[in-house]
Amino acid sequence: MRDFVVLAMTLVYVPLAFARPLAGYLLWGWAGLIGLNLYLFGFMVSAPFVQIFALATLLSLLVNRDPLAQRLQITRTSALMILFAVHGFFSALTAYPGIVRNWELCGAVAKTVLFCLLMPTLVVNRLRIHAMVVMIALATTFHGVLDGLKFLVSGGAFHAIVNPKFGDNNHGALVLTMVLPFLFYLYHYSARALVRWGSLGGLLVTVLAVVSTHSRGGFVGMGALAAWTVLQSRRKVTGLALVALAGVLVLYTAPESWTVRMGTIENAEDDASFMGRVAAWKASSAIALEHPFFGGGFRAVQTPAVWEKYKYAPGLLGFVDTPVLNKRGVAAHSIWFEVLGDQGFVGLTIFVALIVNAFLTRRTIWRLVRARGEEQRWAGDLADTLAAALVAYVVSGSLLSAAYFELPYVCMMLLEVVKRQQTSLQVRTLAPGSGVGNHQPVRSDSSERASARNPRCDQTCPGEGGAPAEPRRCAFGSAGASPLPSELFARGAHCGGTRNSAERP
Amino acid sequence: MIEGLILLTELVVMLLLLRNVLRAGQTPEEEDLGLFGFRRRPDTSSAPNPVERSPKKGPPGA
Repeated sequence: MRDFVVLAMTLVYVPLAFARPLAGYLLWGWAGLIGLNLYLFGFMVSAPFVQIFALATLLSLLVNRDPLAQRLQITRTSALMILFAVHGFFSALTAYPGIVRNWELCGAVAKTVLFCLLMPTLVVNRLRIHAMVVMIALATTFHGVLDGLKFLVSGGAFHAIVNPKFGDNNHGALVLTMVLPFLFYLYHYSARALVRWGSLGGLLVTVLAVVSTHSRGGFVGMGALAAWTVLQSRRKVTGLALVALAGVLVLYTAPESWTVRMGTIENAEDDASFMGRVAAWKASSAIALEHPFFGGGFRAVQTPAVWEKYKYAPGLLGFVDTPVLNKRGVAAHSIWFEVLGDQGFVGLTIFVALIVNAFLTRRTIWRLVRARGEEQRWAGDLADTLAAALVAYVVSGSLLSAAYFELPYVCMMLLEVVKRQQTSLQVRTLAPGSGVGNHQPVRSDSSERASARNPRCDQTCPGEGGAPAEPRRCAFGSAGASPLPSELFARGAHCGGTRNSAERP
Repeated sequence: MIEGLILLTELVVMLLLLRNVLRAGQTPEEEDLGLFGFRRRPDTSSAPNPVERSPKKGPPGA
């Protein structure tokens, strides 16, 4: 029955994807994140949904012209992603023989990078950016809602793996933790109450789903996410209240086995599981020391022959005593050591550059938002959302092999897209004749945000009513720092410039 | 059963998102995503209005 329903919906989706590249693109991303096949049991179980939508999108891009589509441009993020994929190709090419998933993972990275490279061409305005956020939240929260409800119904006895597409329960917890900031953003920015409260409900149930995975990495990731969100939030009280609510929910619903397992985080040195991970890190770094440029190939350390060669090698962590693992290969158990072993020091440098670049992009977005004022605050908040998802990825991922999972790369490119959208507004605003005053961004983060919230300028501008205003500095904000809050526009008064009607994203 | 219902809901909601995006996403000015519409700024209905609060003191230098 389920297969027939999914088939019917696919038959509706595919023509949409062919008709409009944007629809195909959203479906492509959605199918990649939801992993539909795992929820089907009949003739659709092996249907290649991602490939179908990807192909439909690419064909649609060739045949149909999207009126808003932009040309491919090489930005810092896209250049780093291309570099990562090309370097990965050479790593796969020079890999140790007999690595089962070498080319599969190399292909996965290439597909992820292709998806990300197309994002700036199709996701060009706020509406489309918001649609991307909704799509990511929809696809990923699906797993959270399913497992969270099962956990609730079973009274805390259910152990979730989430979706085997992602890997084991730890990977599932990572994915679910990453989507929490998206739901928080949608709760704040959705216009309809149904979506707002649906997002909040989804967030709480997804927290339960993370608990149901019994993943310590997921627990640490949620802690890091909570700390980051509260520290970065302007509404620290609301943030703290939500974190407290989630904490109470967890304490009341989590079984004793979960509490015991989380308690072992404190005794990492005595934990055989953790020390096994350190042993895997040693082997991974030893591979990189022998192959600094291209590493040993994708998942080299999981290959029995490679593991046998390096399992006693001290690598970069010779100062830590680890047990000898009687296994035929182990997972790297850390995104950093995974990339290091798979792609060498060069690959790790590109990977780290990608993550650092994402946080730098977030900072640039805030600088642009401050220059534009309250109207564009959503972009800053979305940048914080994406950065929070990446914080969860970096913290949880430090104990997991999840370097090639697509969601972090999508977040990185979405940050680039938001930056590009804000830059285009800036260019239009600063263009000669646009009639906008010289609102300069100030340096201090806190003072800027405070000025965005507390506009003190209440002077009627001579430029109102369509007449061009003389650009001037605001009389009350330091260095003309007051933004252009829309409340003041509504009251027919603002400082230092005219409203730019062409500034809609 | 419940899993199937949630899956069906997901499929329908995704279709709704696509419909709204296709309807609205073809012009630069359009911002109405229907059910998935967004606010210009986050909901701060519970927070005090900073614009109304400020006139008490008056602008510095006034």
